Amino acid sequence: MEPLVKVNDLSKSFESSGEIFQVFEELSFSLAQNSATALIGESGSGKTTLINILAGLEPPSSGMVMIARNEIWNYREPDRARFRLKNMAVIFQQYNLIPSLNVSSNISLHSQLIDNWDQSFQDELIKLFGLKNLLMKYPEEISGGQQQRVAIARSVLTKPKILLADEPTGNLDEENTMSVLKAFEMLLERCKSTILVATHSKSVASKIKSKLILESGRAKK
Amino acid sequence: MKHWFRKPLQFLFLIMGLSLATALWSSIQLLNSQAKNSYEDAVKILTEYETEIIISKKNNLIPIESFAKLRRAGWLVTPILEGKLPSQNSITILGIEPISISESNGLLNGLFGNGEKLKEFVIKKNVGFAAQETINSLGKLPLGLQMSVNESLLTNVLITDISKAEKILGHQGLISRFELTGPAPNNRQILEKLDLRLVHSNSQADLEQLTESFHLNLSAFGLLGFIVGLFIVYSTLNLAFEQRKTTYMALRSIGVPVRTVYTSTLIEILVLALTGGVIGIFLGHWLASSLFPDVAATLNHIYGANLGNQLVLSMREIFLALLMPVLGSLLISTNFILKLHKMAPQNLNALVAGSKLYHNKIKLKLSTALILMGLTFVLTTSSVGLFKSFFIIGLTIIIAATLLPIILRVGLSLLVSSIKKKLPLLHWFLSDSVHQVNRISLSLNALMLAVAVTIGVDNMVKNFKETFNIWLEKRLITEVYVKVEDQNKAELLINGLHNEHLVKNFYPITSLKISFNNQLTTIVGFKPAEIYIKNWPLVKSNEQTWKEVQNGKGVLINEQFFYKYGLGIGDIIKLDSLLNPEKKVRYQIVGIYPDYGNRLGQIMMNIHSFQEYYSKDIPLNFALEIDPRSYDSVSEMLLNKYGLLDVEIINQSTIKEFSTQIFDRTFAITNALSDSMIVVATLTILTTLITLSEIRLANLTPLWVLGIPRITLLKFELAQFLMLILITLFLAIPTGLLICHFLTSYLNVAAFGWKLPFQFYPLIWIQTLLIASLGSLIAILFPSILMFKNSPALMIRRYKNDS
Repeated sequence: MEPLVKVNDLSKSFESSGEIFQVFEELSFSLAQNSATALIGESGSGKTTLINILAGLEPPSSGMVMIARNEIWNYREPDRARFRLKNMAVIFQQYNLIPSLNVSSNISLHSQLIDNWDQSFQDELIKLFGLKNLLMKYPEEISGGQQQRVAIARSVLTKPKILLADEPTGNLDEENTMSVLKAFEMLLERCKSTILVATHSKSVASKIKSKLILESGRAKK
Repeated sequence: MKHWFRKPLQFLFLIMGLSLATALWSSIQLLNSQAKNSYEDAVKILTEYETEIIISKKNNLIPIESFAKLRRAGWLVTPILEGKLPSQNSITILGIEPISISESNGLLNGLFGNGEKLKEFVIKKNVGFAAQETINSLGKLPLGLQMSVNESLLTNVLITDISKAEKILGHQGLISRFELTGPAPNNRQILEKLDLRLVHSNSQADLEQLTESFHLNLSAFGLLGFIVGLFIVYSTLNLAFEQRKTTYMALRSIGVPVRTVYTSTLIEILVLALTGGVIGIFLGHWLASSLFPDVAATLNHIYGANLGNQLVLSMREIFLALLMPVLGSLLISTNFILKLHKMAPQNLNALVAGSKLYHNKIKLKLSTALILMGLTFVLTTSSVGLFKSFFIIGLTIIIAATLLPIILRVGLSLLVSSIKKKLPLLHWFLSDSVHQVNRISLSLNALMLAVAVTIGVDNMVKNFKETFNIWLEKRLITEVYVKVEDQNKAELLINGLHNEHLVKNFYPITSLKISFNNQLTTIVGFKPAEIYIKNWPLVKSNEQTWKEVQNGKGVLINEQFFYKYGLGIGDIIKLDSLLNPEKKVRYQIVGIYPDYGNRLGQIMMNIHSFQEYYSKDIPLNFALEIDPRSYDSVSEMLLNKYGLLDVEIINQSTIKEFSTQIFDRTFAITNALSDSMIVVATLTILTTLITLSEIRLANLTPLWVLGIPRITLLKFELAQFLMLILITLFLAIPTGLLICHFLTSYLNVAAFGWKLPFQFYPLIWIQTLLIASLGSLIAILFPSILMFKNSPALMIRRYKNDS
């Protein structure tokens, strides 16, 4: 089967204070449809940058990113955004919740925007992540861990073709980490999604068979 | 401080906000104080037009013996001898008697200042006062005077002791006139005996009237400028604090003592406030200078005062100007620090815009607004003075400012609940707008108040102007008015005008001032002919009005009299007869007429009644009914045949034009200030949005990350601000009309004694709203485009920094 995500010769460098900083160079890998992959690497190895590039948020310096046969960096920004809206869900380290919406609306917004909101699935996720008592609260009124669970529930509810998660369990205890992994399993089973999880956690990484290791600016499978 | 180096644009706009607030406040203060000073200087100048005077019936010089006779009869008068200097014809010499003239309140304060100068003047008798320019013109003329410079005097006027003036002018034992230093007694028989007459000049009353109106305008704008300024300061600093919360969080988390944090914050704010304040003073001076020509022209029209070419900033004004940003900033920072102190470091996120906190405050704000509304209602039902009127207008502004965010929040929340789930993006848009209201409510308030006051004041001025024009049209019933000083000329006119074929009719008018309830009141004698019945404007009358005036039993009163004494139609007034002091004359009030531009109460009666009880003097004023096309021939006839001077003949259209000019000039500064207020308010929106743009970026990035294109977000951002501003502007209309209502129905009555009919001028509202909308649109576009010009990667990075 053709892979859902194909990355060829992807390089990224930053210029900072007049110096060029190479994050990674000529990365090539692919992610099969209906698969989960753990993205592992040391702090500063470029995991977040890679996720941003795959999500169409941050441009690569060179190389190609093909997602579901769409070379996303050939698109104009509005088209890339629409592609992301319909096909992807991204979980960020900073949660990216919308401050003006309460927890309930935050969870449902993305799926409502693409018209695939599923009330029973939402209830299931709320139960799974223990968010029932927080539904009417605003992001600023809940803790970091709670915000992270809301962000994960929102992403999972969209039933995305591809889920990109950047340290999704960074602020969670073991019980909640297990809930996150269960949610990912639900996506794999029910929606045939492709999941890429950037993580430091050895226990999370150990539960995901496929691994992509970023080391010295290179990718190893 | 490092925060500002990292964000220079925000620093620029913070300083700009503080400067603008100071500039607005200080410019109005500067203009007002300059205007007041020049007015005070003007009244110090002694001229015959500024007080009631007694002159000879035949316009001759008066023997000095009359002085003692008048004083013995209880008249508080001072003698004046006036004439041209024989050797230097351009210079007028005024001889005064220092002891009796010093009874006059403030009339000669400018001359004598402290008691020493008066003492010197009395003892030496050879002291002369004049402006430096006059002293230079006098050169080395052998006047035998010891000259003292006094710049409050008009050029070419020299003041000295009356005995010295007698010698210089060669009028031994004679004087030109008496000036009254106290109220005129009602018993005026002594004047008849001495062949003197009392001349009442309206100039002083008119002067005070216009000046009061002018200062009232500026004071009201000063008050508003202060409030808008505080809003700007609060808004900019509040946002600055919000951006700093992560820094505070970090500092407190690593154990920096709270006292150090507070002290450094206060010092920082003080430095910022002073920097902004000083720049603001320069800006304010510039703004005041650009408005200065209007003020100077207005004052020149009102009392011929010359304001000079430039505004002078005194230390007092600089201090007052700095007080607002410094005190405002300190108050705001103290409020912030108190909040900071109460909260644990981890809760600082909710420091500024916590929605829960805001929910609790809504009830408090609503209750406050309701209590204030009740208070306003109670105040309007009782009698209203000047202070109370200002207080009511102030309360209206506070109520509107309190209600605006509540109305916006509640209205938008209702919309949110009605469209939930159906349109997610619209749901987000409205929810976000509710939150946005918290952040920009102060700027919106500043805009609403500026626009509301502009609508209120412009509506009132337009209302006043139209009413004034209609009133002027009705009041000036004939084409020509004649005003003579000489009774011989008056007699000639009375006897001759009957036979002039160019004059259809003529109506004598006479007036004098009496004391009614210990207040100076004018009584006017006129001939209640058909032309008056057809034209004279009346706000209240009945079927018998003119009949009663014609038979001499009824009188008309002006609105000032009506509001001052609460006497209306049907009420009886008893007036002392001046010709027969033992007799009280009884009149019934049968009509009330508007009398704009007059401060005093006025009673109009049939001229026969006037001559029977008040003065048998020949009337000196006449209204001449002619064919308008024959004005030139009539004028020529009056000049040649009756020996009238040009200045004694007044064309109706000239009065109208002059009155309209005075009116326009009086309110020219109002228009300029209201326009400036809107410009400053839109700049407030700009500074707030620029400061807000980074916070907005943090709010919008999550949506972009989800997949909403940036251009769509930009459109939403623009639509959101535009919607909030348009709702705000829409709410400014009723607020403005309410202010207009209080201005016309309360402040005007309290300040001037007349009430304007309330009229609506939607064109003014639309015009003001369009200007404000256009200004706001520019203010919205700039920061929004700036925000979205950032690269997407930068959006993410900034989001990380700010979240």
